[in-house]
Amino acid sequence: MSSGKKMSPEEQLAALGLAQQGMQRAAGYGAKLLGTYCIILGVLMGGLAALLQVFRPDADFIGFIVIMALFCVSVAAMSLAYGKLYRSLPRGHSKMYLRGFIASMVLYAVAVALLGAGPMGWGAIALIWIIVAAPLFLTGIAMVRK
Amino acid sequence: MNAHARERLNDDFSNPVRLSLMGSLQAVDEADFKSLKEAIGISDSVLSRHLSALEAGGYVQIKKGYVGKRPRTWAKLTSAGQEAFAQHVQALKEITGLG
Repeated sequence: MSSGKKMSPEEQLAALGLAQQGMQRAAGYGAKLLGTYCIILGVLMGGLAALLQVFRPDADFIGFIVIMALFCVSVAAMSLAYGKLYRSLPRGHSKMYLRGFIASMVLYAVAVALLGAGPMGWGAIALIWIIVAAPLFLTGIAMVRK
Repeated sequence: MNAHARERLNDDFSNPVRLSLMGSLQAVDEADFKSLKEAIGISDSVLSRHLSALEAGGYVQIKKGYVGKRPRTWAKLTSAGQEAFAQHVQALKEITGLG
């Protein structure tokens, strides 16, 4: 490789800092946007998981179908948003998002499986909301704050 | 100590554009051509030439694809590139007394 103009070590460190600032500014915007989406989806997924316990398929089948459809739409919307943003995220944020997303999906599936355990009290329903929402919500908070 | 650090400097990164490119790519998982161009403030042809040189050195991986019907180019550091650049930056810090 030809090197062209050479810089002193001090100049190299200064130029490096400037270049990284420019890139981090652009990536920071993507991280904040995805973080906000994560918070919204986390709260939504938790809420839908909780509502499943209210609109149980044996008691209100149409309500159950509507909730599952809303869940599918919100997951599809989130996946589209991630597909647009993942190439402009700071290093490591993609993995962070995927971990939170998968954890919330698994917990949502557990909430669906809990339908077989019979009706639950409001305390348990609120707990389901918090537990299902937590991974994505916390991931979103971490992304926005970074 | 300083003599050792100077020996660890990588000549491939002493060019300002390549140093900026490596530094920018170190901050993200991958970046598209346009973002890199805007972050560093260089022309398409200069960016293309230096990215190709870094790719030839095994430091950068370039992917071409489409977003809709528009062709796009993305670049990311290879693991060898990450390691080589981290060593270069560490050597710079040691030389300047920051490391």
